[in-house]
Amino acid sequence: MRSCASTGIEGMEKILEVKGLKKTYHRDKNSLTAVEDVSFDVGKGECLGLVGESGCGKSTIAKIITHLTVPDAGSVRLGGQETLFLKGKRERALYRDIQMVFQDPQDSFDPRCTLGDGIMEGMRSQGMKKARAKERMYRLLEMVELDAEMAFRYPHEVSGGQCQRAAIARALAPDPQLVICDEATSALDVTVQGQIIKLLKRLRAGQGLSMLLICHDLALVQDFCDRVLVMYKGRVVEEGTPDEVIRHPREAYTRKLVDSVF
Amino acid sequence: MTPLLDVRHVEVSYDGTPAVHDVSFQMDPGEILGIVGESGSGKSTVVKAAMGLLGNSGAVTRGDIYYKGENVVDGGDDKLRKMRGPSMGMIFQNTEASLCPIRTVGDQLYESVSQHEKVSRKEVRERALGFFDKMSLADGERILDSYPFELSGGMNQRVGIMMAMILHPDLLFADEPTSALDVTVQAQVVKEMMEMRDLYGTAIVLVTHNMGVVEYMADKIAVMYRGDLVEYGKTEDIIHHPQEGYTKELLGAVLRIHRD
Repeated sequence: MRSCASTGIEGMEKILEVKGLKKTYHRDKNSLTAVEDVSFDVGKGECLGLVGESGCGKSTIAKIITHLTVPDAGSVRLGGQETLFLKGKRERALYRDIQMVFQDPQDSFDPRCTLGDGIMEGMRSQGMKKARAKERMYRLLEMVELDAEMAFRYPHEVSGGQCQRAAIARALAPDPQLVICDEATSALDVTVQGQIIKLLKRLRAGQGLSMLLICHDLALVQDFCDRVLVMYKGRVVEEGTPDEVIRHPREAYTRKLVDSVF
Repeated sequence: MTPLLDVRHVEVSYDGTPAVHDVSFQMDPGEILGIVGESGSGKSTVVKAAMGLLGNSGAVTRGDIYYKGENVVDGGDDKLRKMRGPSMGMIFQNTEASLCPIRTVGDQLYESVSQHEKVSRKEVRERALGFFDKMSLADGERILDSYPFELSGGMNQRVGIMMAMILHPDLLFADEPTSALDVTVQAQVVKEMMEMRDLYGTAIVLVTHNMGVVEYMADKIAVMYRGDLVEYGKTEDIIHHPQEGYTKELLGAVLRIHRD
């Protein structure tokens, strides 16, 4: 098994197994291969970082895993089950099992709904009774260290940091198997960023979350992730523990990336 | 020696509500000042006040700002317009958004330069190419003939720097000039800005969130918090011996990579 050897997490139960992903975007007569032969695993309770410059294919991978786009080739397994061709009920279950936290929290909530309704929406659409959803929503707010009163606020009435906490609560609501954070802290002030990272660390330890952290901040990856993949022009060029990759980069691109950090 | 920029006890209000209170600092020619602080702390407001770009709802309600000994606040629009461009330049976070999408970069560059000097298109083009040469950008011709959307984010930022620097201003305001860029591109643009300073002796006011960039570039740092300038001093003093609680919190929140 090539992928086991290359990822070095043999023996660990795998939540996500991605193999041979390929995606080409077409427009008119032009085509762009965004992702080329990408394979990796995320172990249970593990946090995998995905770094690389804009356009290297990081977000395309997240889109494929969350069924927002269809790859040209490859396989994505969640908890051992192939997810790429799921339809109907099973596809809806996938939407529950993989959750995302986005870069701009204010943009990711419906501006006409309160944060409380935003957090409950997913639970309700999965068929949970209103009273139970409400109770869970308040528990989630407490978990992300927000006052219960925040449930009645609208996204534009709270700060970016508070809104991102609510977005994390929303992601945790269905007890997901995998949480994908796509630049979840990069739009926040440095001090707020620090608070959100602390919260994510606490949740990781407490809930045993498995995470895929897409980001371009190597310092955050070194602080937060168990393993990291470096992507360049659609391919994975290097992988290892953050310490290995940052202290002894093997590829020229990784070295350039590390040297660029001030 | 008269300082290049002298900001004295400035208070700025928007619609009667003070957004910045009692801010004072001085800059010498060729100096780089980093202004740091969270969103809404008044960093950009200070820059806008110095450039006379507060708009209709904002005004300097107390204090004065002197540029080369002349009062900017009471200067009037005409005087300011003559200053902005040849004497003070500005770079924004997203140059692409500040350019016209349906005209080429070269065209817009000519428009901007011809507002201040009597020049031919050819002359502007040659100066721009010379400038790109200094930045070691090979395909200057292509950049000038491109529309902003055809260029990458890093290329657009360089266009912004070039457009601001082509008139050789003595003072450059850079508001988050590299925050939207990839780290590798950011590193290049930061180095290019330092070269500009060494080449032309341009003083730079750098507004940013990135403490790493500030530490690398700035001679002095001003820390702003909720409209107040809470700490101001030499870069190494602020970084290694912060005095104020907020500065300590800010520096403590910065994650650094450990290379060894």
